[in-house]
Amino acid sequence: MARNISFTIKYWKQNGPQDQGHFDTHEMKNIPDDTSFLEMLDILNEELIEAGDEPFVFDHDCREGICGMCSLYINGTPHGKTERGATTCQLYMRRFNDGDVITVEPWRSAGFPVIKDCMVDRTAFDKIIQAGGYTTIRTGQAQDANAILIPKDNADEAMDCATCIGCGACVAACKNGSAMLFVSSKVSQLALLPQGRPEAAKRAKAMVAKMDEVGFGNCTNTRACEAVCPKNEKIANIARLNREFIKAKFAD
Amino acid sequence: MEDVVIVDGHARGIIAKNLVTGKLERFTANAVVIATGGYGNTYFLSTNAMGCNCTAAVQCYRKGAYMANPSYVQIHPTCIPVHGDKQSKLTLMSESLRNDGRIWVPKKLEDAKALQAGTKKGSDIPEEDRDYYLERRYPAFGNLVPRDVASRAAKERCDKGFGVNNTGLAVFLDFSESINRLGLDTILQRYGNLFDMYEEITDVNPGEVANEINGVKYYNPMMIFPAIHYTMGGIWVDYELMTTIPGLFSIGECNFSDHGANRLGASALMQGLADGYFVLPYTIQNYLADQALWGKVPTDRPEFDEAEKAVNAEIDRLMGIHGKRSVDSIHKELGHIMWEYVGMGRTKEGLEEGLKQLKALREEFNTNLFIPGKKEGLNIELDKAIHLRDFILMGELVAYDALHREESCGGHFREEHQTEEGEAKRDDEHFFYVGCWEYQGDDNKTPELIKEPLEYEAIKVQTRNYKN
Amino acid sequence: MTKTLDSRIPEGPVAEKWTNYKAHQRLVNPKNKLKLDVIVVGTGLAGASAAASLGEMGFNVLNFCIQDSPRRAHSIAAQGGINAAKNYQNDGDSVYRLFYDTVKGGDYRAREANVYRLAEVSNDIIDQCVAQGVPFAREYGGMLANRSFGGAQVSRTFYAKGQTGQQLLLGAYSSLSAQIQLVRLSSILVMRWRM
Repeated sequence: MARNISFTIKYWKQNGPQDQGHFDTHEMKNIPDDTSFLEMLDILNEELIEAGDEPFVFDHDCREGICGMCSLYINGTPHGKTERGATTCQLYMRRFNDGDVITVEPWRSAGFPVIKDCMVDRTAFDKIIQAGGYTTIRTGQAQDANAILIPKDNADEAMDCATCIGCGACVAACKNGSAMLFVSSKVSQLALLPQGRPEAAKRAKAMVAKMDEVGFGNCTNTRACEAVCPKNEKIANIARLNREFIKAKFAD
Repeated sequence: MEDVVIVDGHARGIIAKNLVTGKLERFTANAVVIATGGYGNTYFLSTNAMGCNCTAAVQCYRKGAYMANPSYVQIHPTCIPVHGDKQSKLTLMSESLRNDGRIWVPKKLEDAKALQAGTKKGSDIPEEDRDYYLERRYPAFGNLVPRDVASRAAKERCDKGFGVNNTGLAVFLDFSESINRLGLDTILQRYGNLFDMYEEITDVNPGEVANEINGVKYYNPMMIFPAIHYTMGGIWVDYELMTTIPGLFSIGECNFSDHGANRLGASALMQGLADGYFVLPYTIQNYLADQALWGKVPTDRPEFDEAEKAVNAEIDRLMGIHGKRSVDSIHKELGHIMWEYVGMGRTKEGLEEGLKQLKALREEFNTNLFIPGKKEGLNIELDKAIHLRDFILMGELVAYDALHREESCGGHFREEHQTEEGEAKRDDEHFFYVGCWEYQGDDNKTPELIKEPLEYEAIKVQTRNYKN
Repeated sequence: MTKTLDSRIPEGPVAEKWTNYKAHQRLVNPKNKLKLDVIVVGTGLAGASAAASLGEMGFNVLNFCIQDSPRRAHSIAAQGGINAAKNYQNDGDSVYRLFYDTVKGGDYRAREANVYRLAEVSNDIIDQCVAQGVPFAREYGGMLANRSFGGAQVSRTFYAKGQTGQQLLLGAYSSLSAQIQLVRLSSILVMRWRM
């Protein structure tokens, strides 16, 4: 049976990238604990609109943990970190208690400028993928799908690397604002598959270079990224990217 | 509600809105392709994402594209049930679960009542007291019957009082038998992430033993209920995927597509990629072959001026209503009307009532809507309002289509047209066609029906039978 | 006033319509493609794959999406899998059977010619996705795995754990990204806009 909780929510308001921003506070009353966090924010927004105010802006879409849009720091952790990897939209109010003070902020990183309130600009991620996160194959050129055998273990591992949803929690958690977990997950997926080998060297170099160019920091192996990734990506991916990168540079 | 621009009868560009700055801009092209997905969010609660909308499709309809078979809406049988009125969407549990999961409700009504009151759990009910109703009714396909068949079967049991949660609107999807047969590891390998997702939302783990009766282990069953998921209807296109507007193409779920009255699982992904990789790139060339001679259309043509002016006027109108109701509150009401009257089981009286209520809802929208903020800059409520305006129109199209189609077929079920066993009863003599609707110039005017007759050469049309 | 719709289905037996169409259709010559602009609204499976393919062919493509990235399209949420008539399981599948199952599943209200074409190109889709690096599930022998889905008596569904939609979309998104990088300056991606 759902219990109801009442709590205070402090949420970040920022009118644009240049605005200084500040916290607004609101008292939430009698929220059933089987409500999701984002549904709770919907209730907040209904109350704000009813009072004639503008709603609080945040990215969200699928509400089932797969699109990577939702991106909130909740009480200082990306996605309000639970013991199992989950996104903001998969967080439910049963994890909170009566009388709590809940703080909601955007991803804070130089690579992700704020657009408004908690909505940030993550086009830097698209730019990194555009730098090499693909195999160059024209439509209609491919041979039969079973022509190249891929050991099950490799296929499964590639799949694990491929589950990254591009949410940016890794960047948000990292004190250096590094995007290495994001970059390495894509590089790893393609490195583990024969289809990715022909361009592996080019890919590693180009994506790392783009990552530096768009303003992300360097990796110092703090593992904060792995701890908050909603899809349980591992820093073994980063180790693999480093190997691919070094191999590529040696070959130069 | 932004617009497709038609010059000399051909689609030659669009008016688009920058959602961050709020500014409108003109874009010119030799052909326009709409791939904006389906209209499931007309029902407010669906498995669609929050941003999914049919605004581009409806605007094309207003400019002359036809909306085909809108009443064919797919209800997916395995979604997490509604748990409260603040719910924002319904989460889909993959159909693949039906490969190893078995769907059931209790055989005894008193067991059902106990489940609804919370005094019994699913795992308290032993095998012999479980009604695996899909296996019972459809021996050849069992739990793997098509979605519309599975959804209606769930509704049938819940209507009779055998629902298994507090709202009476849920059935069980149980993995006890397959876990006992194949081992928990195998099942977790196949569905682990789905089980995790389910537990995150409901706090129940389907991979956990909950009871043991007579030496047989019973695991926590999942609760599921049908929900709006996919829309087979959409913009009418010909063999080349071109609409009735020359130069305007539609692909993917957005068009009325290749699925007829019901889409099979794993076919949507197939159709989207087929259209995008292997069909449109060919067929669009047949149209564009002439275009190189025509050259680019400049954006200062009067058609672009008029289109942009109309869009601006509409935005000003919506911002200027200054009523009392939020977009979501009206959208929720739309969802209730649609689910109640234009949902899984439709009737003539229900559809007529639904249309009446939809018209009243449009009036409410047009007179009582409140959008905070300004039209400049980012305004989420304004964007949602634009989507809602078009959802209301789409809802009416679904209802008109359902009302006129006096048969039961795939995702469209008319209570008045069913067999004695409760299966869909088609009327091929009178309804063997694609029902296309043409806009009559005003949102309040009844659309006109145009029929595309179907002709089957390769396949013999039969009653769809999944029993043997 | 009765209006008629011309679906422009090509002549001939259903199994030959698409081949005949492609053999006789008009094409745009490579130089002219560079002069032509196509707007694609939406970056889901259909939109992203169309934009990528048209870009590869040489057209100038303007591709719009309402989210902050093409990878957010709701196609990513599809969990189950994608059908194709490969018959890798040797269980009796064929293009005709996939065509038949789809028409029957559609309760005999689909357009035959369109569905046959769909079944016909289904195998090419799987080949394309594998070549893009989509991590479909494999069996121990290294070949692609299959499972069965509602409405079919064969195992024809290819899948990537519970994330087939996401992986297929990322495949199309990566092809789209490649087009932008290959400095098809005229292949432009416009995000957070609505048509």
